[in-house]
Amino acid sequence: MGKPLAALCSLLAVTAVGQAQAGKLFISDERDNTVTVLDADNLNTIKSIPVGRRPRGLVITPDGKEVLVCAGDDNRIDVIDTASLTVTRQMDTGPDPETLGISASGNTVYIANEDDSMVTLLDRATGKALGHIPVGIEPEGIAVNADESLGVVVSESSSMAHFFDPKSQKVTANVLVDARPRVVVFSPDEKYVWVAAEVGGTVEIINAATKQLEKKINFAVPSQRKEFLQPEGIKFSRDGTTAFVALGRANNLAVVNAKTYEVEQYIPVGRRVWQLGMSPDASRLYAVNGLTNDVSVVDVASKKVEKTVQVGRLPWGIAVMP
Amino acid sequence: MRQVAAGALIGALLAGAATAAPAPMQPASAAHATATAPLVITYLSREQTNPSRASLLEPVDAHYGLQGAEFGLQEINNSGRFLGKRYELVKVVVPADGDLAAAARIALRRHSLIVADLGAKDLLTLADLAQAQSAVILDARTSDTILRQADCRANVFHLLPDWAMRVDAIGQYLAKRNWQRWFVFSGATPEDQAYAAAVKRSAARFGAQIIAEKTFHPSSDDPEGSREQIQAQLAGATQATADYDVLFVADTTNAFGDYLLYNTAAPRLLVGTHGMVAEAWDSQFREYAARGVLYRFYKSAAREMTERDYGNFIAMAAFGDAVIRGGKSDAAAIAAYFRSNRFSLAANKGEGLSFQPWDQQLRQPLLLFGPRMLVAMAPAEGLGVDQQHSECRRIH
Repeated sequence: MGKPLAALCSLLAVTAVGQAQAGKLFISDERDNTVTVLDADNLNTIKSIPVGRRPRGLVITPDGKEVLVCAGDDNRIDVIDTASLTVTRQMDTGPDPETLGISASGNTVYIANEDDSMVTLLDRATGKALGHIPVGIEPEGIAVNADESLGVVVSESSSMAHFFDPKSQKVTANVLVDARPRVVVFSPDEKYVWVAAEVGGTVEIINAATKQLEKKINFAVPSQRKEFLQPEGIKFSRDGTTAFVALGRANNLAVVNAKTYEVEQYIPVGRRVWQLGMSPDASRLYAVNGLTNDVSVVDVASKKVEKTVQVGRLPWGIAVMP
Repeated sequence: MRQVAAGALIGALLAGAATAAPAPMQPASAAHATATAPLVITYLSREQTNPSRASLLEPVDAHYGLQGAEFGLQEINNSGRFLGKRYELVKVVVPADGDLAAAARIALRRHSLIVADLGAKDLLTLADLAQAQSAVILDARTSDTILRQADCRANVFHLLPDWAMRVDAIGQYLAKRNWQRWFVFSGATPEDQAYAAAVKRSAARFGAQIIAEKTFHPSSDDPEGSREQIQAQLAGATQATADYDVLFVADTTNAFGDYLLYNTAAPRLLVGTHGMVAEAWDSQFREYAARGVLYRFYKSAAREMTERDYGNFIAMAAFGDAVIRGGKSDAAAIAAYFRSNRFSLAANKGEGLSFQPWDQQLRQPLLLFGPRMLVAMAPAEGLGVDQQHSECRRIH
């Protein structure tokens, strides 16, 4: 695969590919105010860590040492030490942090302040604010490329992708997308950003250089109402040729050919599937099911659900230890 | 400026100085496109005498609706500024006994995109003005079925659900629970009677049985000061010869409905205009990012967002969408866009909303709410009067 993907909202930041240490999965439970920790090998629950109120977006640092959890109703990030599995410190974020990203260097944290139409940049070590970037209404998904030359955040209510320069902290381009975009990710080669629009029911592909919309992916799950097709989390296979898209209340994952943008198949998972995570060796995909309070574990090779694991109530996001 | 006396405002309009909304937030960076001329939307309403209420929990606020429109203006400007779009709101509010037609004629000389925060009679007065024939009127307030039926107008689009949609949403839920014996208990106003007619229509649709029907005349028309009198009446008035599952209340003006709970003859559930209600919006709704809307509205208006505010808010959002997504700026093109299958309004209901072609009423999931909590959401499809049964003949 290409460069490491950095800074995807509540998604895994993959670093040393092929690292074989026993991993952990961290799942935010929005209604329980906990983070459930699963053993990535046997999928047993290791611990349920109490965190601030309404935890949603979470991300693991590239060094694997910390998990940063947005506690939206407490206006802060709780920092979990991945060795002791305790909250060791907190960072003030400004109002209602929903999701966050982290730079490939691990030094800068990017936060979408949902209620404040703002992106906040924090210094990871000190927790100090490095700056604020005003964006559209209800910013949510956020991503930054590996060399931190380009960031992008989607505003859910304004229905836009706002590209920004992380260094100058300025918005550089605004692209209107389909209604209620919630997730944005860079393609593994960083040439494109993929935007999932919940109400629009589409994934749109924007050229990261020209900022032009190049392609739109539509979905059709048999026997599901069209308005239930709510694209959310996106994850790529290791070679970047396949993308997995969570389809929200349609209770399925779509398997998309990332070259032709054709939908190749659908994988039934739990109810209101939200965010996705990928194992470090890219063999297992984890799908977080909000309304069935569980995680579907998908074998990437066979595209089959291997196992379903119970977690806390209203699980939202997932971070996978690199 | 919150509210403008009609006289002063008409003067201002004639002088060519539109009452601009508060300036949108300053552009954050050079990336914001240069703003073109603003799109002007006219808010049209009438000052109201104090609405009747029984519970002090029900706020009385002269700015109902208007603050919803103002909030909508903020929202569309906050989004629009990134794409170089700007909107202004001209507010025309006539006095309680003022001449709506005169004020509307003057407003329509300059601008033809209207958010109508008006009652049924005023809405028709507006829609039938010669100057309004090429206007786009977004009805942000009414629920009268007749305005979507025999009295429909081609230049009017309705943002809130009518009685038929609401009653169907409740009826569908009652059918699912098998609570099929209904006692229809209505007030005496024409609106109450129209609501009761919708209940009977819905009963036929969902196979419910109307076991009793009664029109109630409260002993006092001052609900704030007559608790004992009304309550004493209700136990007798709600007696029925056969048993029933629900008392289906049709009290559209809130003359007595708040007194019904615990004062009925039999211990039965209330649904309809009181008890479990079917709404487009509720200040306790939190799903589909409604929570964020409520939060931002509260910051802007310092109170909870009512359904009437929501109607005005999404009317503004619809105009905003027509400009940003539809790329339209004149009334005819905007109306065509609203009628097209391209129009899909994100309005915190979990799906895109569109206008039914046969009556130009927004098709939307309804919220079934108890006093404090969401009971269920009714799907958007199949509520209210469908195309086959529509009596609207003026929309093509």
